[in-house]
Amino acid sequence: MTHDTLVYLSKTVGLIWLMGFFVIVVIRAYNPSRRAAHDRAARSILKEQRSDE
Amino acid sequence: MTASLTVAERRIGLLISILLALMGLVMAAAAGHGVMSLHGFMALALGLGLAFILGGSLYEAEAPADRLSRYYDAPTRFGISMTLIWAMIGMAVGVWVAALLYWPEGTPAWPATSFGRLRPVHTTGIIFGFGGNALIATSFHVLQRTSRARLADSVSPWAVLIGYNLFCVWAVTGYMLGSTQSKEYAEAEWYADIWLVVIWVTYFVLYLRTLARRNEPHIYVANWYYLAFILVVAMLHIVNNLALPVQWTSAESFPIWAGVQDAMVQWWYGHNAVAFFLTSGFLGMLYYFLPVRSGRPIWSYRLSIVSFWGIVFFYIWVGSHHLHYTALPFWAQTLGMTFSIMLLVPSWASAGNAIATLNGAWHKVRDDATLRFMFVAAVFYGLSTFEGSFLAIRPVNSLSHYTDWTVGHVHSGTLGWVAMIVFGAIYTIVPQLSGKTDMASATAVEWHFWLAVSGTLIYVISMWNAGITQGLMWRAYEENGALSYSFVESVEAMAPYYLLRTIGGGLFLAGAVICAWNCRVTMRRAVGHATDRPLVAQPAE
Repeated sequence: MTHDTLVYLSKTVGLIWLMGFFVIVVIRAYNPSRRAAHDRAARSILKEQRSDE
Repeated sequence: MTASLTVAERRIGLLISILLALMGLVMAAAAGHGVMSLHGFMALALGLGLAFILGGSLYEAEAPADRLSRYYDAPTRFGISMTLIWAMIGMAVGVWVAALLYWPEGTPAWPATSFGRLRPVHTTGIIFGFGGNALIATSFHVLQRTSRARLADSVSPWAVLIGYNLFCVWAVTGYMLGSTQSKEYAEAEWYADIWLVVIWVTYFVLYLRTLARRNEPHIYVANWYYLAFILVVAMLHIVNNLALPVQWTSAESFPIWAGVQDAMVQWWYGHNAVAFFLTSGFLGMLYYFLPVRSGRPIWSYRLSIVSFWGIVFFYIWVGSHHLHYTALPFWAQTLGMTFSIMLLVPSWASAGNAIATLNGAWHKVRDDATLRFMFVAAVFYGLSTFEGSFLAIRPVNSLSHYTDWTVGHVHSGTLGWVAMIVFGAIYTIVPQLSGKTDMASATAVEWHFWLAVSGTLIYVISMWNAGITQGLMWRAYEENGALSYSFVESVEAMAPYYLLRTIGGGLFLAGAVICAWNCRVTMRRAVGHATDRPLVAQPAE
């Protein structure tokens, strides 16, 4: 593999792979329909702390 | 240990112990002399010792029948004890070698205690001994609580912890005897590396099996960080340590990588050891213990997911910033530099998320030294990741590289961030597992906190001064183009900073000793088990 091929791949496949993955993660994390599930997950570890607060 | 195992499990343990003893015997006999032989005898002694303990308990009372409706915390308690023992060993050696830099004439005429051999004892003792045991112990705790399930079986947690500590002891004793692979943070010899792979795979399988039995629909984000730590460390460790032994019966080996490729693989490993050993798992601790201790859910759960993928994707590329201005191709250096700067975004997202969680609970931070440990950890995490991105910029690196600034940077991460979050986690777990609400001495926790903070600040600030002074002295020129200072002059200029560093490290060590004492007293006064329980009793293996 030449240096030029590597640069071409990183500027196309690499870019799409990294940016595409990032976009999918953000969409999945910030999708309004998941808000309730995420809030529940965030509070799930606090159930055992009844005496607190 | 034995009382919590069923008779069948004790038999399995006995079999494994006998196999360990046989392995040790074969190693010792085949090597005949040298480091490998000594390490064989160590494994033999450990295997025999465990075999006697387990064999002697074969006909003792069966483990209580209701154990499956409780979390399995005995391995966590053992792991925390090992964490604190290694903390005292690793930090004491650190203070000693720091003192040797100020009083080099104090080096004993015994080769095992020379600076070059003790320095990796310090780094391995802290990273693998202290950090690794803390990660394994807290991961068992967090995994069970977030999954609301008991560990999948009772034998493999012990195999992981005891086997891992055998690796650590092999590593540090090997260095003292002059045996090393000469790869920073991967100095242990080939058979120790293979042993660690076996232990690590057992750990990974145990983690996944327990996760598969969870009674929570969602896998809490702390588990993702712990899993990234286990999986990526396995990958890094295997690739960097690929080596051909000179012969099967001695410790010496040659890496399969050569030249600049070897350097790149080493620093791909080296920086990702920082990323996935010293960051990812500890972020898992932060995302669990900070909300639990403050009684508040993480400020933004969504942001924790985005920063997880950001950290995982960016960190893996940054290793080449250790090789600026070397034979490594320029574009590879630039790649490492660019990703290092981008990494600041997810790093600060995590640090900011932690601090925003505490917003509204500042009265708790003021009153509770344990929560203050976690707060300081989050602040130092933010500081040291900013510093790391900054130092990775090539022109900045030309000033900082090879100076004590790097040492200061590493210690702002390890003392200020990693050790602080470990102590915060320990002070949360130890009373809980002892069936209590508080540590034996709250005053001792306060003392530890202030010793740790002042020690860290003295250490880091003196090393910043030392590093920048060195960097500037090395690049100062006369009008005629000659260097203004000889190298020895720059060494002499370090004396006050090295003395201060020794004092700062000494304060931090004193705090760790107080912590170990406090934990010991709390554990000895333990009454019964942790009060929290899984939702559903788990079926037996």
